[in-house]
Amino acid sequence: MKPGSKTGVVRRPLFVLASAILVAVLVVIVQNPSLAVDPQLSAGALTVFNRTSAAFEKPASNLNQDEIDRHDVGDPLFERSHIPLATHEDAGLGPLFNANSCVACHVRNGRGAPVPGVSLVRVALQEADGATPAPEWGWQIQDHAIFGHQPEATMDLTWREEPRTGNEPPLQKVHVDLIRPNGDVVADGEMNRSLRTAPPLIGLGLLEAVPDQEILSHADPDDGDGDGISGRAVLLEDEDGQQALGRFGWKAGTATVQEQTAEAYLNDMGLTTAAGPETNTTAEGQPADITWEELTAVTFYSQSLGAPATKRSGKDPVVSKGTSLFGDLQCATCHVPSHATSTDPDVVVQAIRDQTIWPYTDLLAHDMGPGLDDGVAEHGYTSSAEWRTVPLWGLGLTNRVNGTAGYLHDGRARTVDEAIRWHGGEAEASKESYLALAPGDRQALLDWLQGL
Amino acid sequence: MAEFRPFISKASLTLMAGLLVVGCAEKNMHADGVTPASVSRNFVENLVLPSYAELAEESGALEEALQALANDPTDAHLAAARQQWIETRPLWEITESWAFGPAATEGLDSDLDDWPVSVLELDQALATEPFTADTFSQLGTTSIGFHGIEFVLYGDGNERPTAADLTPQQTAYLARAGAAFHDTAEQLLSSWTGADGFGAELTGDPDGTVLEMIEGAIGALEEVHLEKLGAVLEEGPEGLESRFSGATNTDIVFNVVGAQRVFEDTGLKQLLTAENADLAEQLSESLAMSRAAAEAMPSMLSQRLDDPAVVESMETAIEATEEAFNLMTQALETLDSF
Repeated sequence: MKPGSKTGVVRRPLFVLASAILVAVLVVIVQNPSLAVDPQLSAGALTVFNRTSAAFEKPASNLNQDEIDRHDVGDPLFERSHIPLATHEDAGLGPLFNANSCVACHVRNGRGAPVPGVSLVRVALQEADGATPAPEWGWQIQDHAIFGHQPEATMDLTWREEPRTGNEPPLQKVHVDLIRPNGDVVADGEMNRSLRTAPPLIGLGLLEAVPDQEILSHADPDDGDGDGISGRAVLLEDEDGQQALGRFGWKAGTATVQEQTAEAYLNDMGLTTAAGPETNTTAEGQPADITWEELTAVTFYSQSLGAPATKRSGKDPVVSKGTSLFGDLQCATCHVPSHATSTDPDVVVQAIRDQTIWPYTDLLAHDMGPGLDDGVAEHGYTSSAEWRTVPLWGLGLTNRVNGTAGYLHDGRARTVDEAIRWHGGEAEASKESYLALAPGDRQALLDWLQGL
Repeated sequence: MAEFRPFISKASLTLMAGLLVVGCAEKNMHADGVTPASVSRNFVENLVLPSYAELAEESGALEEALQALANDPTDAHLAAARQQWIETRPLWEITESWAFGPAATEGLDSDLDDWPVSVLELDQALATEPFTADTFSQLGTTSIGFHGIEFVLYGDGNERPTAADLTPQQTAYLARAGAAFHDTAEQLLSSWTGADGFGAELTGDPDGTVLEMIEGAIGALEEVHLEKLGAVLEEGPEGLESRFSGATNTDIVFNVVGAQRVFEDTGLKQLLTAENADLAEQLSESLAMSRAAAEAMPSMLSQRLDDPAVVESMETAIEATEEAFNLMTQALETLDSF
C-alpha cells in the first residue's frame, strides 16, 4: 500500500527529496549503464506494475495510444464466447471443439486448471515412439460438440499419488481415460494420451521478438560442452519447405503468435480463420469463421500484453540468494534468465524493439526424462520426452491469478517444489542438487521463484 | 535518438520507485481509523458474502418459479417467472465487480451468465422430444444460465410468448435450467464462505485484497464501456447482453452500482482520500455520474438503436463509465506499492 500524506505541506518536501533521489539515481545509471537493466523489469519497458489477479490481463506499460486502441479491439474478441452460426455449413463454434472462447482455458490470461472443459488431451499411437497421430482423431481429442453432434471422446481424469521418495511429500500423476460416445473406454495400450493445460499468455510478443540467432546460440544439440544439458532448436517446416524456429506451445510446435492463435481457433474451438486481408476464405478455400481483421486483432492483443514486474528489486537479498542458487544448480542453463529482443524496426509493436527481458527460458527443447515423457511426439518435431523450457516470468502469481491451477503441462505439480521434483533427463543433475540443498537454501530458492 | 528510448523509460520507472521509497515514511496513516484490514473485512463480510447469499436465495425463488411454470404453464406463472428473473438479475450484475476468484477460476461465472445465447443450439434442443436430463446435459454455457432462461421466457426479442405458446420441451428446459442455476449460485456462495473459503483467503491478505477490490471494479467498468455498450454500437444489437428481456440498461446500472459500493461502502474511499483526496472525490462523483448516465438509458435498447437520442444516451454512458474506469485505474496506481 503506497502511503502518503493528507496535505500539500507534507508533500512538498517529499517531492523535493524524491527529485534529489531521482537525480542521484540518474547520475549513477548514466555512469553505469548496466544498472539500467533491472531484472525486476521482467518485460523491459513493457513491464506491468501490477501483481493482482489481473496482472496478466494488463496491456504492456509503454504502448502508445494507437496501440492501446488496437489492444482494446482484440480484448473483447479474446473473451468472446463463440456459438454456432447459420452463415455457412459448420459456421461458428465447432461442430467439435474443446472450449467456446480463448479465456475458457486461458483463465484470466493465465494457466488453465487440469480439469475437463478447461484443458485438452493430445494423443498418439504407441508405435513409432509416439510420432504417429491417432488415425481417427489426429493429435488432439475434441471432447466437446455443439448440440446434435457427438464429441470424439470425453475425458475422465484420475489423480494418483506416486510412491514417496525419501522424506519428500508424494508427487501425483494423472491417468486420462478416453471415453467414446458409445461409452467404450479406449484401452490404455491403444494410444498414448497427454493432458495439456493452457499456459499463461504474458510476454508473447517479446518472446516472438527474440532473434533466432540468440536462441540458436544457446543450442547444444549434441551436448558438445559435455555438461549433460543439450537444448535443441525445434525447426518447423511448412508445406512449401520453409523453415521456422518453433517457440510457442508446450513443445515449441508453432513459430509465431499469429500461427499459434490460428491453430487455437481451429483445433481448440473449431473456428476457421481467413487466409489474408483480402479474403473471407481459408487457405483451403473454405468460408472463414474468423476474419483476417479479427485474427490479427486477437494476435495483436496477445503480442501487446506485458509481463508483471517481479515482487522484489534486483538488489533485494532474497533475489541475490535465489539467483545465486538458481545459477549454482544449473537451472539457468535452460531457464536462461535474460534475452535482448530484436532491433528490427519491422515489429508489430514498436515498444517491443531492443528490450532486455527476463523470461527465464532458452525457448529450446530438452529431454526431461521418463517422468515427464508423455508418449506424444507431436508432428515428429520433438521426441515424446522433449519439452520447450517453460518461461518462468509471472510464476509467483499463479495462485493469485488461477487459484489451484497446477504447474507443468498437465497441471500435475501442485507447487513449484513439486514441479522441480518432476524434472529429470537433462535436468536430473539439477534436480538432485536441489534435493540436496539445505532446507534453508531450498526455501530461499522457492521464495525467490515465488517473487517472479 | 531511438536507442535512448529504453533508457528514458527505465529512468521514468526509477523515478516512480524513488517516490515510493520516499512515500513509505508515511505508512499506515489513514483517515478515520480505516485500514486495509478493515476495508477487506468490510468488503468480504458486509458486501460480497451478503450479495452472494441474496443471489443464492433469489435463485432458489427463480428455480421455484420456473418449476411452478413447468408444472402449471399459466400466464400468471409465466409472469411470475419473468418477474423473478428480473428481480434476480441485478443481484448478479452488482457482483460483477467481485467476479474474480472462484467465479472466474471455477467457471461459475460462465455457468450463470455466458452470452450471447447460442440460439441455433437452443432451438434445436427445444425441438427434441422429450426434453430430458440428457438433452439438457448436452447444452453448453451459452445455452443455459440467465440468458438461456431469458431466451425461453421472453422469446427472441420480437413478440413475447404467452403461456399457451410454451411447449412441453420449453417448460421442461426451464425447470432444469432453473435447478442448475440455483445449484451454481449455491456453489458460488459456498466457495467464498467459511475458514477455507475464498473470503477468508482475502481477509488474510488485506493489502492485496484492497488492490483486488479496485481491479474488480476496473474490470466491471471496462466491460461496460468496451464490450457491453461499446462493442454493441460497433457491431449491432446481437451483442446486447439481456436483449430478449430488454433489460440491458438495468444490467449496466447495477454493474456501476457494484463498482460504486466497492468504493463507497467498504472504506476504500477513505483509504484513497488519505492518499489523494482530490482523486477520491473525483472518483466518487464520476461513479455517481456513470450511474446517472446508465439510469438515463431506456429499456429495450436492441429495438432502439436507430434512434439517435438512444444512441446518444449510450454514448454518454460509455464516456461516463470510461471516465470512472480511468479514475479507478488511477486509484489503483495510487494505492499500489508499485
